[in-house]
Amino acid sequence: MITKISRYAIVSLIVISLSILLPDLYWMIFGKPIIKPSIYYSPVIEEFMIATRTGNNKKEYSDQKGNSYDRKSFETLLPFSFYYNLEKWGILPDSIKGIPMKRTYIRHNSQYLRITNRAMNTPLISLNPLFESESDFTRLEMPGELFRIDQKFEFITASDNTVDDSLSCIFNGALLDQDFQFPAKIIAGNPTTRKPFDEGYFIVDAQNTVFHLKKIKGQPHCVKTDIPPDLNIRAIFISEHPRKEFYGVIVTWTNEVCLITYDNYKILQLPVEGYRADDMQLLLSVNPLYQMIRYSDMKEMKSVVIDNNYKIVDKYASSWTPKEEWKSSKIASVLFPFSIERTTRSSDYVQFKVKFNGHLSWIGILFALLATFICKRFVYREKLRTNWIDFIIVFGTGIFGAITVLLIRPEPWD
Amino acid sequence: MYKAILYKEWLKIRWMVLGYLIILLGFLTYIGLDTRYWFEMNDPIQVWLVVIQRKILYYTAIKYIPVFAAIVLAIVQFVPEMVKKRYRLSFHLPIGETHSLLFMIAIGVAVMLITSAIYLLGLTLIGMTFFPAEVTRSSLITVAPWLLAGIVTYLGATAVTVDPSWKYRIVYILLFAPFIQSLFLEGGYGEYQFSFGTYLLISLIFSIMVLFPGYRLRKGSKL
Repeated sequence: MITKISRYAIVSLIVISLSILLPDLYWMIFGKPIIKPSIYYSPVIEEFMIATRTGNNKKEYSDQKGNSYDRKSFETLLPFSFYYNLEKWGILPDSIKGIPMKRTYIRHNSQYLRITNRAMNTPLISLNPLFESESDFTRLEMPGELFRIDQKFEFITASDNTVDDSLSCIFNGALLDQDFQFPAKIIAGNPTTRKPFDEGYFIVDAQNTVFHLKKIKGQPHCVKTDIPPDLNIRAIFISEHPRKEFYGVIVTWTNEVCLITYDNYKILQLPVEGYRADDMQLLLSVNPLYQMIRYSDMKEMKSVVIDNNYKIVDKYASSWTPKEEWKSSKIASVLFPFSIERTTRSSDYVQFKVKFNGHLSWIGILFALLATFICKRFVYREKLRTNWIDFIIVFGTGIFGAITVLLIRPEPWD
Repeated sequence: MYKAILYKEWLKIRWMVLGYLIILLGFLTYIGLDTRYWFEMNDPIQVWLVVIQRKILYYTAIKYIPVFAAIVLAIVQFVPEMVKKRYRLSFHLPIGETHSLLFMIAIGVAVMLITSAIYLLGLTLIGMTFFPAEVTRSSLITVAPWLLAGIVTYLGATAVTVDPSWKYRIVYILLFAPFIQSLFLEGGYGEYQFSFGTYLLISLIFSIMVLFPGYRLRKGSKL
């Protein structure tokens, strides 16, 4: 009996391996890239503009009404995005809607903030450097220690790998003075010296209150913000920018996206209807006239343009044939009843996810059963009654099971 | 009887175990020295940030060591048994074939577990010397799939060695590989923290796998 079970152990492992290997090989042969269009908003004609990369690495340019353009006239209508080209061609207008079209002005008033689903699903060690925010020198400098906020606030010095008790005590006291409840749930900052200035960290405490912590002249500067604790914050992305309009973006567990503004940490909800943080990438691009939010998954892209008062100006949605509707996906569904997904584009975590391929798989399963029966009955001449479980395996796993039970054959059991 | 089998197994594997221990300690020492060199040559905070933010794993040198050791262990333990079909002698022992095979496998798994403990201990010592506790903890979580791969490879390799037919051996080698490869897919630290339990559960299937090749060996199956 146990040897019989041992055979099924081998069979199930080989089925698992085949359900990793065969779909991988299949998509290695038949996979093609999903090319997303680039969407812009023209302040000149007040319409969305679309650049699409076609198969042979060429680009097609059009507006939302379907008029096509060559590259130069396309870029001419998008002066905030291609001002450097327009300047080179000598056709950069002096102003657009009262906005002076100077290279430095546009650059200073343009900002990009990208939120990827991968950044939301990645393991992180919560140890960060706290920069001096008001240094006497121009460039930000990396401090000699990292901080953690577990049951208390601690600085760990890198040179000797020990806790700096005196400095930790000062910062711990500053947090306690503001009623901080340990431990911290989220510590969000921009831990790099490659930024124009430093805004420190936004820290969500055990009671979901958001605190803003900075180091100013070596001393803690901690503010208990009025950001509502019931916002259900999932992640915060901080991006320091000379415009000083917002510190960064909050993404909530209910897929809301809010800006944390410099106006006393007032929260501004962005109009991102249908945004799903786990599946989508979001890009907020700001130019002197408009702010554009683009968010997309593997099937569709939505674009919303808002003005500087956060009023919606225009919306645009584009979609393309999703991978599930490709002919090659349908054939894969017939061939493979399921596949095992280990890595995805949307997460850094390795998974073991069984992905079923829907009702089309039944065709493949029937063929697999038939092939198994014919082979076992007429080629191998096995006793079918003693090994009926093999058919159940093929019924559940289709081609994977059929290949396995035909390779790893039952023995004449004792 | 079990004591005698234990002694026989020990005679077969002792040099291999000693060799593995020397290599493992050698590699751990290398990682320790290499990490120390990093800290000497760079600003310590930069080394920390490279490990934490850029997710460079300072211990990748020992990534595949358990897998290689497992293959060698299975070979030194079972190839001598297969030469001239010596293993068939154990069918005449007053102990069932299932029990004796499982006991032999258990000895191999015990060796893999003990060496895994040394592996983890070494990494803990290196981590605690140079890094904050969070980094050390993450290193132990990150290497867990590699150590599991060692045990799974050992169990797979025993099945390959014990089976009497080359056709089956090749199928086993080709088709155990994708599962074992699944344990080496990380691009940074801690990426298996949500799926490790599933991989561990599936790996349990490997534990009784050797019995079928053992049965085929006894029956002299030529399929």
